[in-house]
Amino acid sequence: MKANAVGKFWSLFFVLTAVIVVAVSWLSWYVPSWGWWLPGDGQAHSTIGKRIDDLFYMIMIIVALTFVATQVVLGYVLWRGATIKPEEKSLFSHGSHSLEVIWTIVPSGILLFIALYQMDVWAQFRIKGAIKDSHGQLVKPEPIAEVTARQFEWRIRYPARGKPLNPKPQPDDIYTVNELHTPSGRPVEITLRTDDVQHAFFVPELRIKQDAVANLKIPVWFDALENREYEMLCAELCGWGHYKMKAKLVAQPDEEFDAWKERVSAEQFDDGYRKPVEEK
Amino acid sequence: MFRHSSKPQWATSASRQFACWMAFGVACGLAGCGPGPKAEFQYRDSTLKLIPDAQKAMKKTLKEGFGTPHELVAWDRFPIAYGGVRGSVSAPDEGTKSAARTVTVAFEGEAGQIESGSPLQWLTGPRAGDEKTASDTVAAFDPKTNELRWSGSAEPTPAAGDKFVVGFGEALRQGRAVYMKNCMHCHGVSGDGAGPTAEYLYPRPRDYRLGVFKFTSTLAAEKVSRDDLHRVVKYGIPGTYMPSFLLLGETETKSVVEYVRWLAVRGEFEKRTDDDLADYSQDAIDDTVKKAAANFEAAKKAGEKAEKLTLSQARKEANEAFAKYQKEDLETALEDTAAFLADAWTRADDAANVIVPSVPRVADDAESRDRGRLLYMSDKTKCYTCHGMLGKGDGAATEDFWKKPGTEVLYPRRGLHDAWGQILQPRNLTLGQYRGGRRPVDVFRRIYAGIKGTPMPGFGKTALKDEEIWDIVNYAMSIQYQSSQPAKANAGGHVAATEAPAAK
Amino acid sequence: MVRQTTRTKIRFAFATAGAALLWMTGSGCDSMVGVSGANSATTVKYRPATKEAATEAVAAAPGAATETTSGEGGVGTLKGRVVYVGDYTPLAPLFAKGAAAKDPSVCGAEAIPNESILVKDGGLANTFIYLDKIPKGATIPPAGDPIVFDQKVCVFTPHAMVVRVKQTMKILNADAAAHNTHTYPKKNTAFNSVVQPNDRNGVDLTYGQAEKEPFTVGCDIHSWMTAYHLPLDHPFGAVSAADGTFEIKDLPAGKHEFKVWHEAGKMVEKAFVVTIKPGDNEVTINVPASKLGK
Repeated sequence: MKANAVGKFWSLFFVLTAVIVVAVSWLSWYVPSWGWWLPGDGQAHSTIGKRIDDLFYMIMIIVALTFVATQVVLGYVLWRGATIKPEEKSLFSHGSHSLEVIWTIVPSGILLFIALYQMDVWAQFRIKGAIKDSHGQLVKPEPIAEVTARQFEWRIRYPARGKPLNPKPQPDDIYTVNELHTPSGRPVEITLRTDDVQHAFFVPELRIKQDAVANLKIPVWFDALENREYEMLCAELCGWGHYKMKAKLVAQPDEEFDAWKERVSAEQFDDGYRKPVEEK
Repeated sequence: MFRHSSKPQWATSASRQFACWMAFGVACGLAGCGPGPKAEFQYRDSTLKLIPDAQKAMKKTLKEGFGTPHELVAWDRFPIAYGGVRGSVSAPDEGTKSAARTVTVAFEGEAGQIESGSPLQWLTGPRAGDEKTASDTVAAFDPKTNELRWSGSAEPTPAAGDKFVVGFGEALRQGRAVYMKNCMHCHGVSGDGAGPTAEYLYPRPRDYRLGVFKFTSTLAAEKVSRDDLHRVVKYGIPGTYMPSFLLLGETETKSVVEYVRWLAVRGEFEKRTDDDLADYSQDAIDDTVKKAAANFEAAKKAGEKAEKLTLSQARKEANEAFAKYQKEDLETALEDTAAFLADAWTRADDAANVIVPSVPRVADDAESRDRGRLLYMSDKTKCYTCHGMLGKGDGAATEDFWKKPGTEVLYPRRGLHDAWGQILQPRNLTLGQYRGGRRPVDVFRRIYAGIKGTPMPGFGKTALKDEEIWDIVNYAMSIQYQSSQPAKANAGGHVAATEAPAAK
Repeated sequence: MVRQTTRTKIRFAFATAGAALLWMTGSGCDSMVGVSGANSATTVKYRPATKEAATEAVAAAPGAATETTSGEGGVGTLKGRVVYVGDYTPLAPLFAKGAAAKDPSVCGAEAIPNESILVKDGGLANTFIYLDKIPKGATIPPAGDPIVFDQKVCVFTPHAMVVRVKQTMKILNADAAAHNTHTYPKKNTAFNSVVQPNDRNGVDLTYGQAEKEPFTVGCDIHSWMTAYHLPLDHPFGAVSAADGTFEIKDLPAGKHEFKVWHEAGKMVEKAFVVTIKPGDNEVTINVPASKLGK
């Protein structure tokens, strides 16, 4: 009987583990304020982010169903094995060909489905680089800034107000550090670079993540749907000061964005000719 | 198992081995969590080279003046905003029992922040410096009647006009916390620029202890202002490892600036006092012995009688001399140093010492840039000797061996060096990297006052007119956008062929 | 293998799980940077600006000094000569005429001399003889007129000079090339400013603090240019002339300890004792070559 106790303990242990995992996952989804689920309020704040979230949830559901089913079977098998009577004989199987075929084909089918299903999202983010507006017209993202990652900060270069972004620095460009401003509600594009090692541009709430690779200029587009500040991080361990690469993304209406540009430009081209008291 | 193992069974058992590795892993993991060495202010090498008595006096002075990282001492002598709200007693306790430990006060700053439980520090009057008042705290403060009740001893009673601070040292404490979290691993606990990660960085993190900071808005002879430090913390220094701390809150930034100023004052206080005590160092003793030996040899040659000075004699003499110095002069010397530093750091924040161009920026057109280019290439400014003909920071001066100041020894490497003894590349102007800020006024100030602690001299006031500086600013800021064609020698012949950097 | 009981097995399972949990939480701790106390509580102690006692002592000191001022012994003048003891061969110039490493058209007009040890008729030039403290009973005259520090053919003139604190120094340039005069003082703020070609009005420099030892002055354009300045808060310092002679006036009578400093050997004598009598006092300071590193 003692051997049975050990077996029962383990079977319950594994079943309980599965139950806890499911319960905690469900709770953290149900109560987003805990911050255990997706970043921020748990919602994506960009068009592409919403589609990515949909994919995520779809895969999540498939995985969750598979997980629960597997755990139920596992629990049953363990329990059955632990409570087996000495006179009962184990069933010895040499394998089942049809079973093998089934559990090869079913997951393959699922994976193939996922692979095909996600293609459009991928294409939109990486190849099409555009979204449709309310009239069904394709809107190409507007290049707004060049974002250069370096150990350990983000340096950002914008074109002057009303000018397009030039790949080469221009005398009237505007520079900021650790503060990326963007117009909200429409797709914009940044050029991602790195000065040194590999970094990754990551705005969790927009679900945008892209590695910055030395000697490459990588275009990244996104649309921030709300006028607010988002956290902007480095998602590639880039050195001892990696944790310092925390910045903010400020999404604002076009007018505010332009006004902000004017203000920063005025400050940047300050020749200091006035009373020093006013200077700040 | 094929053969009998001499090892006990448990050692070969796979599960036991697994357990051993697990335990090992746990031990390693936990070891990483043990308390590291206690944070301590390091002393300069020059302090550690002093004779024991002098060293003792030096350490005592530093400890009394500045404390340790765990028990900071806020010396009110220096213009550092240690934090807290200052106030004074407007009407003292009238002696009625109900009014015990209560005074009417007037605050200089925001009285709204006064919370009960805040420490209360008496600055003047009978309570100041009294042991019994050390643990005074605010028991209650009524902003309507301005009555402040304190908890602590009732005696001695404060008089009208007595000054006090509530929450003294808050800014310094917060500054220290911010510094230890964000700055210390490069700049070091004592601000010596030798934190654990410092050795992997080029350029090296700033060593505050000379009291010199490079990128300032102040005149050449002045120290760095609070605003300058604030800017550096907020926006970082491009081209170096100093990152931007833009997202640090405003109070945090302000308090860390105060803490850095405090560390700089502490460091420079130590350095200056070491210089004062240089006669009582091991180096000085060695030098004396060496010189005495030279005297002895010279006298012997001349056939005169002479005595040799032994090391122990020299030590004894140094000890005696220091005892005399300590008795007569040390106090005054320390006072002078404190006065000098207090004055210098006060002046740094005087608006009168900020460089303000006397004329607005000269229009940034082709003519102005051309005038700037001619000045850059001229013998009037000699910008090109360091920054190079094309502004690449590869001028002829970077090819030379330079003497360490105050010695006859050359630096081991070719090139210019800064006040910290680090090799220094003149700025490459083609990169468009502006360490001290990219506002035209920033570049103007670099040229006007030079860059402190480096060979970059000041041109302002006498050497160049403000208009001329603006021309150079316009030229320097345009170099980035030019194609890398060599500058043409102009008709005026300022670029003499002999000035080619290929002198060597 | 020894048979394990069920209880030991269960215990082992729990112990392993517990240890793993501990390890996971433990490795997240923040002592990575190697110094503890980053987040520990700190106390800030108030220290008043001045100690009461200290202020009194400082206040009392000048009074004590004035008491003995009524110079009972009068004042004397110290006239002396610094003598170089040893064999001297004139040093070869740093650069021959026309061979200067920088700006040969300007700096090559003449040879650039090596001034590190200059001896004429046995007298050692450019030696500083000074008191590092104001002697008791001395009257300190005001700093006086501006003095000139010139740069000719890429050489500083004078090569060594004593200057009074708060005395204006006019830094001139007689060359057709810019110089940047860069001081490396210990107590004063470093000065680093460009002096225009042929600027005869000059850039003004005043020292605010007395120094204990002379310090280097250089030029970051012409690496060989070197001079030595010594700001003093009293007039009792001199630099030996080309023939080694020097003169210090108005010294209060009594025993004085002079410092003797030369660039080649730095502090040659820490305390050269001279007893000054009213009137003229003659003295010879012997500097053996070995002290100058020869």
